[in-house]
Amino acid sequence: METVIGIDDGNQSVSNALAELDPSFLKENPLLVNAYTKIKWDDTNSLNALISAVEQIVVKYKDPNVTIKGTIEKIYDQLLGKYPLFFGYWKRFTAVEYQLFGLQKSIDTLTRAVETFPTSIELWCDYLNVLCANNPNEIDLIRRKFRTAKSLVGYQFLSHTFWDKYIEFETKHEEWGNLGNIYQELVTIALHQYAKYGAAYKAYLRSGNAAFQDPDVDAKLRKTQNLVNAIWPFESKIKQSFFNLTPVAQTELQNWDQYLDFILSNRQKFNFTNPFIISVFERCLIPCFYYEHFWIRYVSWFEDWEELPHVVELYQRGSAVLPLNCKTFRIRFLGFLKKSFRINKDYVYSLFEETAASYMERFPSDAFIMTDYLALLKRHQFLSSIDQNDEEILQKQVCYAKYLETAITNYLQSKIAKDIPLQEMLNDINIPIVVVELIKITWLVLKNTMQARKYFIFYSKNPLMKSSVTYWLTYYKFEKWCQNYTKLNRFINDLGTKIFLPTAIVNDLLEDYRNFYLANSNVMHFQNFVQSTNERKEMDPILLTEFKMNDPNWLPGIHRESNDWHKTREFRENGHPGIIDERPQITNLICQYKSKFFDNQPPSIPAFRNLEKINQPLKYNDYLTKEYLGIGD
Amino acid sequence: MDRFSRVVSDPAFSELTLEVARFPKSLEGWERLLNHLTTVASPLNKNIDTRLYQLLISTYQSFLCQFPYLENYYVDYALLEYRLGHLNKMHRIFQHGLAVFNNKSLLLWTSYLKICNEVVPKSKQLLEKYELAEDHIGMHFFAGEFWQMYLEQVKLRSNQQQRFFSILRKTLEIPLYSFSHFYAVWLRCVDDIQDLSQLKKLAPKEDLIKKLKIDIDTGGRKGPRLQEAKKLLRKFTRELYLVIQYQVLEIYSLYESKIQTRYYVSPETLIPTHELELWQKYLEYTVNLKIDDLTHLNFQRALLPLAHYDIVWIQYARWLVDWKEDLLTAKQVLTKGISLSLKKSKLLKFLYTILCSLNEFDQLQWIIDHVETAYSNHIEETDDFELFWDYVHFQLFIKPQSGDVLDIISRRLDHCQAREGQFLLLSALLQLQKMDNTSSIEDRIFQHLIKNNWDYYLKDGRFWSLYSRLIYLDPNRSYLERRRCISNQVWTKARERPTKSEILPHLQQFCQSYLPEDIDHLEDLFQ
Repeated sequence: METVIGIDDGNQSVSNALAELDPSFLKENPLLVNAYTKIKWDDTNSLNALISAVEQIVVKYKDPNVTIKGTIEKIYDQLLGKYPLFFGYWKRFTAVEYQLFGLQKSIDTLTRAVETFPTSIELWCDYLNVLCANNPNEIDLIRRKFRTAKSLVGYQFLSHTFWDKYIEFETKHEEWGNLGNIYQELVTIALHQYAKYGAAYKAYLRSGNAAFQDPDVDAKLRKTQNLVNAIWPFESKIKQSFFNLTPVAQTELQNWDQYLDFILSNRQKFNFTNPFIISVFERCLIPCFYYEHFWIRYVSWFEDWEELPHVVELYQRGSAVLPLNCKTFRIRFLGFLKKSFRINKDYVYSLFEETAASYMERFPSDAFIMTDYLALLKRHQFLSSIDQNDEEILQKQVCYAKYLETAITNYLQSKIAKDIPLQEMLNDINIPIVVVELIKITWLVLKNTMQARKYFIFYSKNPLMKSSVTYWLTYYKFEKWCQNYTKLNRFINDLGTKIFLPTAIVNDLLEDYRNFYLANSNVMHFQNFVQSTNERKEMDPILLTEFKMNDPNWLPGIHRESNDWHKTREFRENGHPGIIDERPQITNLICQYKSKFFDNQPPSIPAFRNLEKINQPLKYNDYLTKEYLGIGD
Repeated sequence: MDRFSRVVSDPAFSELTLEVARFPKSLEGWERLLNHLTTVASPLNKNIDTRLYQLLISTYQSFLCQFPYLENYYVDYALLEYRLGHLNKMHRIFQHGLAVFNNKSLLLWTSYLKICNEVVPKSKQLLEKYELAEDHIGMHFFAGEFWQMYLEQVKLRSNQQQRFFSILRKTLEIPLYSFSHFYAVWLRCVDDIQDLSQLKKLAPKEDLIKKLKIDIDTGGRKGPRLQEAKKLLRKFTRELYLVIQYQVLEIYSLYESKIQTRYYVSPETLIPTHELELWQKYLEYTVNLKIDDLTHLNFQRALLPLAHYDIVWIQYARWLVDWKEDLLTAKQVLTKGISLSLKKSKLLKFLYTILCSLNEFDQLQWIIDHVETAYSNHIEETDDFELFWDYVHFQLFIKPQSGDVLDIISRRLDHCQAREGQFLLLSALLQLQKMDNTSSIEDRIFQHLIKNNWDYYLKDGRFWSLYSRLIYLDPNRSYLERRRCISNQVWTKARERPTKSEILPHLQQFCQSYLPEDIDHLEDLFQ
C-alpha cells in the first residue's frame, strides 16, 4: 500500500515512491532513502542529491528488478511533474531510461520531454538527433517533427543549433526545394547568427540546386539585420535563460519587461510577427515561470487577437503552474470568461463554473467569486428579456429565488446535492453571498418585503452571517429603505459588540447612518427618538455615532464608569501602546486640591501603589500572538 | 510740527498702517508697526504725548484683537501701562489677557504676579491672586517658577506658617520640570525641625501615629524619637521622589522634550506634522491620566501653537463630550475654534451635532444661516464639499419640507468640473431618495443635467450608472417597470453619447450588481 508523504507539489501530496521497495534494499541504500525522504523541494542541491542517488543505484545494480525500475521512474516522474522545465533532469532521465529499458524507452522519454517542455531548444535538438541517428529511414516522421520544432523553437534568438540540424537533414536528403523554403523563411527571422544563414542562402541561390531565385534577398537580409540590431540591446542582457528555483535577478526581470515593452510597442514599426512575439513570451516564461506579472502580460496581449479556446488554454496553463498566492492572474481568467460569455455561452458557462468551483476551493475566503458566478448563473439559466411577457419574466425570477433557497437550505442542513454545482461550491464564507442574493431578489425584484424581513430575522441568527460584510450591508440598506430607525439604531449599536465587521466598514456605516438620519428625519422625531434611545442605553444617531469611529467597541459613558482606571489597558499602556507599565502611583493624591483646602492642617503622608515594581522590566503586549493568532500567555 | 504730527505724517508710518489695513492677519506687519511706534515714542515715560500714547495703545488693542493668543504682547502692553504708572490699566490688561486663555496662561500669570508682588500691598489680596493662579496653572509642567514665587510670598506675607508647609508638600506631588528643587527645600525643612512638636507642621498627628508610629504627645526621651521621625519622613520623601521622578521623566522624554513650538504662531506659519501628532499623543496621554485640571491646562497649552488647526479643538470638544458629558463647554470650545481655526468644516459639523443634542435648534438655524450668508447666500459655490454637504443635511434636518435643497444641489452641480466632489454629490443624492421623491430627484437633477447637456456628466459612465440605480431603487415602481424604464429611458440616452464605449463598463458593472440578465441587452444596445 502506498503511504503519503508530506511533499507539497502545489496541489496535492505526492505518494511515496519508495513504498514498494524491499526493506533490505532500502537498508542497503541509505543514501537514496535519505535523499528522497528528506528532500527539500525548493532547494536545487537537494534535488541534485536525489538524482545522483538514483543514478548511483543504476550504476550499482546492472540489472535491477521491475520494482526498482518502477521506483526510479516514479522518482523522476514526481520530480519532473513538479518541475517540468528542468531540461537537465530530462536529459538525465533519458540516459537512465536508456540504461534500464533500452533505446525505444529513451526515445519515448524524449518525446514526453518535448511535449512537456515544448519550448526547449536543447530537448528538441536531442530528440531530433536521436531520431535522425536511430530512425534514419523514417524521413517523413522526422520532417514532421522538424516542422513542429520549427514552430515551437525556430523563432528563438539562439535557435541556430536547431536550424543547423534542420538544414543538415534536408541537405543530406537532397531535398533542395525544402531547403530553399527553409532558407527563405530563415533569413527573415531575427537570429543571433542571421548573417551566417544569409551567406548560406546566397550560396544556395548561386548553386545549381536552387529551385527558385530571390531578387529581394539583400533587402530581406537588411531588414533582418535591422530587427537583430533592434532586439540586441535586450537579448545581450539575458543572463539566465533557463529555469531555476532561486529568484530571478531584478536586472533580468527588468530586462524582460523592457524587452516586451519594446516589441509590443514597436510591432508595426519592425513588423514583429505573432510567432516571434509568442516565442519571446515563451522564452521569458522559462526563467520567469513563477512570475505572475509576465503571465498577465502574455494573456493580455494574447486576448487581443487570439481565438477564445487558445486564450483559455493559455489561462489554464498559467493557472495550473503559478503559485497559489498569485490570485490576480486567476481572477483575471474569470473576468475574461465573463467578458467572453456571449461568444459561446454554453462553453464559457461550463468553463466558468468549473474554474470558479476550483478557485472557491483554493481560495475559500474570496467570496466575490460566488457573486460573479451567481450573476453568470442567472444570465445562463434564468435568463429573461424585457421583451418577454411579465409572467414569464417573473416566473424566471421566482425559479431563481427557489433555486437559491434550496441551495442555502441544503447547505445549512448538510444535504448537498452533488449534481448541482452551486450547492457543491458553497462554503461557510460564501454562503452569505447566496443568502444576500436570495434576499435581494425577494425584496427588490419580487417586492415581497415581509418575506425579505423574515429571511433577515432567520438568517441573522446564523453564526455564519455574524461577520459577513455583504450580509450586513444589505440588511442596513434594507432597513434604510424601510426607514426603520429603531432597527437601524439597534444595528449601529450592535456593531463592534455583537456584529463584527472591519473597522473601515463600520466607519463608513456610521458616517452614512448619520447622514441618512439627518436627511430623512426631523427635529420632532429626533427629540422623541433620543429619549427612547437613552432608555435603551443606545447612542443617539447624530452626536454619538461620531465617537464610535475607529473604535467600534465604544459605548456611551464608557470612560466615565471605570472605577479601577489604573487597572485598565488604556492606563497601563498610556504613552506607550503595546508596553504594559505598572507605573508607581500615589493613592491619596493631593495635587488636585487647592492649597486653601488644607486649611491649617498639613496634608496626609502619601501612600503608594506599585512602588516596588518601579525597577521591574517592562512587559510587551504581544497582540499578534494573543489576539490575532489567539494563543494565550 | 509736534511729535505726534511728525509720527503720523511720516511716510514709514503710512506705509506700515496701510500694510496692516490691507493684510490685517499678517503678524509681521503688525509687529513692524508696533516696533516702529515704540521706537518713535521712546523714551516711554509719563511725559509721553497723549495722542501718541492713544495711538500706541489703540495699536496694541487692534493687534491683540486680531491675534488674541499673543501672550507676550499682553505682557508688553501691560508693562507699557505699568511704566506709565497706569496700574489699574495694567491689572485690566493682564486680567483681560488671562480671560482670553481661560486663566491658563503660565506666562501671563508669572509676569502678572511678579508685578503684583511689587504693587499689591495687601497680602490677602495678593495671596488670593496666587490661589487663583494655583487653580489654573499649578499643574503646568513648567510651573516651578510660579511655585517658587508663591512659596516666597507665603513665607513673606502669610501669618500662618502652616500654609507654607502645606503648599510645599503639595508641590512635591506635582510632576514639574524643576521638581527636585522643592524636594531640596522640603528636606531642609525636615532637617530644620528641632522639636517633636514641630513635626505636625509636616504631617497630621494621626498619620504620625498611624504611619510613622511616633506619638508627639507622650513623654519620655524626645531626642531618639525625633531622629527616628526625621528618618521616616526622609524615607517617604525619597519614595515620593521616586514616583514623581518617574512621572516627570516619562512626560519629559515622551513629549515635553520633543515639543519645539510652545508659543502662538501666525496662521502663515505651518507646524510640522510630527509636532501635531506629538501634541495629539500628549493630549491623549493627559486625558488617560484622568486629572481634569491638567487635561484642561494641556489642551489650552496645545491650542497656543495649534490654534489655527482644527484637530486640537475637535480633540478638546470630544474629550468634553465623551469623558465629561459637558456639552456646553464643548459648544464654547468649538465656537472659539471656528473663529480661530483655518479649516472650519469639521468644527462646524461637530458644533451642529452638539447643538442638536442640546436641543438648541434656533441657534443651529442661526449658525446655518450665517454660514449661508458668509457665502452671500450661494453656499453651493463653496470649494469645501464637506461644508456644503453638512449644510444640506442639517438644513434638511431642521426644515425637512424645504424643497430648495434640491435646487441648491442642482445649482452646485451646474458648476460641473469647477467644483470638487460632483460625482460624490450625485452618489450621495441617492441617500435623499424616499418613498415619494424619486421622480422629483430624477426631474430636478438627472433630467435637468441631461436637458442642459452638461457634457461633464453625460460623458461619464458614473452618471448613467447612478441614474440607473436611482430608477432601480424607486420604491414606487414594480420590478418590470423599473427594468424597462432603465433600458428604454436611461440606456437609450446613454448610448447616444459619443463616449458610449467609456460609459458601457460602468453600466455593465451596474448590471452585474442589479440586473445581470440584461447585460446582453445592454451590450446589444451599445454595439
